[in-house]
Amino acid sequence: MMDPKTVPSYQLYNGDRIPCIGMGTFGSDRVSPAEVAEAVSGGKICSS
Amino acid sequence: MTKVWNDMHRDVQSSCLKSIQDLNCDYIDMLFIYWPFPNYHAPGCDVSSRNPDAKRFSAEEFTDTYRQIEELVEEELVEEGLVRHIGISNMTIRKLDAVLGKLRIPPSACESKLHPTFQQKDLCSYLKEQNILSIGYMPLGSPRRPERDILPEDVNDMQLPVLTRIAKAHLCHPAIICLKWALQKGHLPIPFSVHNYEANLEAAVTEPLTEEEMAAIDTLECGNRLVKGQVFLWPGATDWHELWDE
Ligand SMILES: NC(=O)c1ccc[n+]([C@@H]2O[C@H](COP(=O)([O-])OP(=O)(O)OC[C@H]3O[C@@H](n4cnc5c(N)ncnc54)[C@H](OP(=O)(O)O)[C@@H]3O)[C@@H](O)[C@H]2O)c1
Repeated sequence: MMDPKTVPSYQLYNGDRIPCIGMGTFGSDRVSPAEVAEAVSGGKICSS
Repeated sequence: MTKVWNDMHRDVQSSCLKSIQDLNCDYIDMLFIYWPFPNYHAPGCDVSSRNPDAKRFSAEEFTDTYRQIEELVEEELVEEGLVRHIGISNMTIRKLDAVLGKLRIPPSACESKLHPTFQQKDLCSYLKEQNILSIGYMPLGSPRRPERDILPEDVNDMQLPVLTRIAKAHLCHPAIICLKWALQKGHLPIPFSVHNYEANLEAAVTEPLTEEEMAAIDTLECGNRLVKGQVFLWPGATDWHELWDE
């Protein structure tokens, strides 16, 4: 599991910060919404 | 983060409220206009599918859609707003030139197709000058994109010898090298993965590429636009190049 504090971030024009990498959510009509949801929630756990 | 779909440009608020309800959250960190002009096409449709009502990009239509998001951000001035940042996507320099001066709240990020064989260097420099973050979609060259978008002449980024060689040196998959390249270029890549997402996130914290490796990947640019967007064409348009102002 990754420590979220170790993920670098970018600064947006107003000073807010955003993690430097994200996860795609469009499964190219091959992966079901449920599988995508599971991966994205897994991604959230890995970085929290 | 989520987006206003291209059939909801005239009713951004209800699209945003539906997303908030579906995502079970209180507000959207960044709401994107996914496509710079409206068009509806059914999910999974073929590249030959056309919407007879489709119209070309217009700065007026775009700024009207954008204005509706600005209103959702500006609510924040009185109470917690529904949207914190505005994103745009699938833009070109010509379209940005036509609209940026008309917006009250600048866009925070622009999502574009960005991978080693399709680097859009001019667009990225333009965005950087405007202080707009480049978000890179299809950062691995989308090897499993829908069949309708696969052509025999397409290049598969992750199979290129330059990338496999660098991956070998870093003891990782070429996907990780594509992501490191994107990060070191200052893009925010959004790789899709149901099997390798943890490794992908870790690409941001493991050994960076050397200057030589970055320079070698820079040479892979070959205008390899994998998804052309034909379904967005309007009656009378010549071909998909017109979508990208080429
Ligand atoms: N704004 C727009 O117009 C737009 C357009 C297209 C896409 N997008 C967004 O961009 C996201 C990414 O694009 P994409 O899904 O087309 O392509 P992509 O991220 O370039 O490639 C995804 C593919 O690469 C594989 N992969 C991912 N990580 C890997 C790894 N570490 N090792 C080996 N294989 C790996 C995935 O398989 P596994 O699942 O098996 O790992 C998946 O098949 C989309 O999901 C969507 O959210 C936006």
